[in-house]
Amino acid sequence: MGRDFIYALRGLRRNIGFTLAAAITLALGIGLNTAIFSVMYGVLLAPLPFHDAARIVSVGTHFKDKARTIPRLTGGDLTDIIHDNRVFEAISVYTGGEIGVQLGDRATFTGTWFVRPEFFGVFGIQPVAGRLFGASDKALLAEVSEGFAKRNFGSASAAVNKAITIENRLYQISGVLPAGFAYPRNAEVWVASPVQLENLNRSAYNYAAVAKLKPGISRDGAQAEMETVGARLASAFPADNKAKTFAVTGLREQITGSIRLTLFFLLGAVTLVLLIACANVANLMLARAAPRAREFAVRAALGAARSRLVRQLAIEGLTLGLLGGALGIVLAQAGIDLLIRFAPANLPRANEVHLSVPVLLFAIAISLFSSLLFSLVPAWNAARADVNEALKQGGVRGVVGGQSGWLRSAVVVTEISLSIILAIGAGLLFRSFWALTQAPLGYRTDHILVMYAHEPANGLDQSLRAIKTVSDLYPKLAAIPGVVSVSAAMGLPTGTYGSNGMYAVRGKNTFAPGQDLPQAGFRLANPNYFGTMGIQVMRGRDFADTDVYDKPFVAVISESLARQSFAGEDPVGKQLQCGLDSLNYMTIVGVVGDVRQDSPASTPAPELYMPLAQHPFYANEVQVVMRTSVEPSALMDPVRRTVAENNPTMATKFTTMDAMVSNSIATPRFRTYLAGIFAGLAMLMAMSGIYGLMSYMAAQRTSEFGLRMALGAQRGDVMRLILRQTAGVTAIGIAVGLAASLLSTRVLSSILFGVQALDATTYIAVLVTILVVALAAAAFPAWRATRVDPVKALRQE
Amino acid sequence: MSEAMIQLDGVKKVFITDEVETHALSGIELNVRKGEYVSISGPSGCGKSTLLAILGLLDTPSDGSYTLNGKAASGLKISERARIRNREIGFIFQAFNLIGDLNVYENVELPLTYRGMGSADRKKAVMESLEKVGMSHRVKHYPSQLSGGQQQRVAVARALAGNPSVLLADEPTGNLDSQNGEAVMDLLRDLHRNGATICMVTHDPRYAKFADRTIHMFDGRIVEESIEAVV
Repeated sequence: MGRDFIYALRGLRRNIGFTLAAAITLALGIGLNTAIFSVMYGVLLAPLPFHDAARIVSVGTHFKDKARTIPRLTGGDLTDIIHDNRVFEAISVYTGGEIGVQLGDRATFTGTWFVRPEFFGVFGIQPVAGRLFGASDKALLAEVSEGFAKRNFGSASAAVNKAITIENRLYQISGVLPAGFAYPRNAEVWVASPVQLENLNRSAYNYAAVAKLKPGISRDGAQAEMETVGARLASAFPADNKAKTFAVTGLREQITGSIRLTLFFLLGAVTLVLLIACANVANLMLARAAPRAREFAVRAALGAARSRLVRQLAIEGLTLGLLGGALGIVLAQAGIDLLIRFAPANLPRANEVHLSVPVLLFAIAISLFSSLLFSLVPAWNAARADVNEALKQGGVRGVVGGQSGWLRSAVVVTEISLSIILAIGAGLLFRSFWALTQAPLGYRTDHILVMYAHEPANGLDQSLRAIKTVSDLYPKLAAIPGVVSVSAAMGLPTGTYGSNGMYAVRGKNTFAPGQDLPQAGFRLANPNYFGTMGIQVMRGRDFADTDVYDKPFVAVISESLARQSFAGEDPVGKQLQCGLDSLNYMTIVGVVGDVRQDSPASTPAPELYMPLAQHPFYANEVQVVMRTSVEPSALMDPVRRTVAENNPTMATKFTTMDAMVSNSIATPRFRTYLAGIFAGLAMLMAMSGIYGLMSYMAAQRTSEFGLRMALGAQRGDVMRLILRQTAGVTAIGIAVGLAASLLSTRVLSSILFGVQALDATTYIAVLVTILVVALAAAAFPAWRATRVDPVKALRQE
Repeated sequence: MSEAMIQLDGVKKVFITDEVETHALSGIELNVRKGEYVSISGPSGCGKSTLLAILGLLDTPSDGSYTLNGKAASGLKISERARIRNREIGFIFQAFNLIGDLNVYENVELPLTYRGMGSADRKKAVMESLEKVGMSHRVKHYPSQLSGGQQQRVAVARALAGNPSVLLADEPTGNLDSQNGEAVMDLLRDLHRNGATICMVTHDPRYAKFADRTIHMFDGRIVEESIEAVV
């Protein structure tokens, strides 16, 4: 065996061209697979870096009638779940997000989460300095991350007992949590939440909950218990709970659920690339086997059994596979860096993606699998060769021409088919992404600078003051050269703030229990928001400076909401109420155009806009929008300076509307670009396979071409012969690939936008491209065949 | 009379391609004794290479029986035929058929590795065999670094290394000039004198004379046998 390895290595060294071509082809396939798998492993498969991570679960609400689960609970439901708990060792609510944290004379946006003391028990986390706050602590205490502590106080121990201010409340840092712990999303500050939840109704899903299963309790057991609790609450509160129960989801699944499909799709795509690479290498090995047919015949004549010959080729393949694997791992490392750099910003657990031991084992496994795959065909071919025929002087051609010719064609057909599946998938994703970029959003994105601003406030008076503080900034911001207009909103399209819920139209429905009320997105806006954003006012008016807290409440609705609740009527002047913060009736003063709120992929939905000044509890955390006459990012510094000079305790962060929209389609863009790269690579490999096959076929038929030309065939006749052969092989590949695509692309349906999985344009474009690529690949061998000297060719025969 | 090493009874070989039947061998009767040196000659297409392929278990007869060293060779499985080729038969080809990626030592060692022989035993057998053909000083050389005559001597060493019952040589001088051809024939004669059983296909009457017996073939039949006078 060891000797066979040495011979294999020597053979590869002596055929350096073949070795390089095969190893690089394999390295591309293995490297891509390893890189994508490393992302998949780091994101989806690796255990979460928490103590007893398998026992940590998320508890959410499952709507039985819609078969939909959300990772949030109402305050009322959560209180009952905690009260009735028999299956969780610890359970904690958490709410929060990125808000302003004041440190002395400055403020920063920081991931800040309100949690119960049990939260730390769920994760089994211990502080690196100080202590964890507990249920008996009466003071306002906070834990901070090690990174936050070092950044702001120099070290973990220096941060302990220091003060930070959140919403004008002073918190003392009781402990510092170890680096790497950042749950929930980007958390850096964990603040003790009140024991009693603020909102105990059963219709507002404001709370997330995380829990640790008791030892010996399975997830299924916990799920059964939650269904029991759900049934009890459904019976006790039928108006709100009859159609819902509670769902226990593994925390890992809950964190990574959104990216799962994309990663599986990408792994599928790179698997196709690897299969094509294997087919290409198998073809190279078959090409190499032709001149080696005599060698194998000699070995057989000397007593090598077929199994021994197969072993010899398998070891050669294995050596090549491991070489390709080693190169692939090097490529994978570079690939991982690139993937992480260009991955969507919301890719969960991105910091856990690296070349780990399981990933390396995967790379080795696919190297071995690839070796097996591409060695199989040549080994089978060699094993069934006619030894006696091969030993004859002219036997080489007799053996190889007769047997491996169709084999090589079959391999190329496989390559073409796989390329078509990949290219059609990539084509559909490209068309979908193109449709996303062209979708009418209902607002302008260019020349809009966005400033997230958080002014601390606690209670009505402070909130009203915060509104004034923020409003006082507008004239100063508008005075900055390049700023054309200024406004603000809570709930900017594609932004991180927002709310939604039910509303009732006066005279049509009420908030009485059991009512099936219409739904809408709730947005808050300042005067001139619609103008600044380019959202068209279709009827009525925009908000005015007079629409303040102590004046009659007003609202602006979107066209979709008008259609939903006021079909055939003029909604202006009608009144409605919603559950955002009060049930005050609001008079509709205008109707504006629809917007795609969450991303270009979202369907324009009913939106209810309310003045920021009339809803002060939400008005201290806003997105200030500035239309600019210059490149908006150029104004970030002047705006930041202006804010800092006027209000240093206001936390700010900047982006542009273009960037926000771009981020909202980062995932489809990511998978489209990758699929495009993979499809391009697949086509190149298929092209090289076709080129190799046609070169081989042409060489096999040199004497025939010579004879044909001696009998009067024109060069065009010979060229047509080759191209016809190419077209034949390609047509079979296209037929197989088309059939496979029709079956396989359906899985893409759920991630396509504006294009069907069976989109004829994409299919036709890909098929034409493949045909052109195939004929282009065959053109050179065909041209070369026309240069055959009939005399020399016939002499060879 | 010595016992038979090779016994062919009514061996026929028919090739069927499309609708054409070609009778390459038509009822061959042949008996080669242990230690005998037989040359097979005849015009191109007379069936001598087919006969040699059947003798070497590279091909199977369409009809008739073949007994090699007292064992029936008909109906053997492919793996069994490979095993017998490895242990009982040494091949010498016209085109030498050395493996370009292996050096002289490794080429000669190759059939022994298929036998599962231990490394020390292999080394001993390889070196003895190379000594016999005068190539022991070239063990590290690759075939491309040797002359045609040297390559054929290495091929002979490879055939001898496993101590086979019979040596089958197919035009062993066909690719050599006369001087190297003579040298290879001298080598075969020496081996024969030391007891080797040899069957050699040749159409060169000069070399046929080296054999104890010459068989002439025509149209798949043995048409004449002649005993050479002992020189």
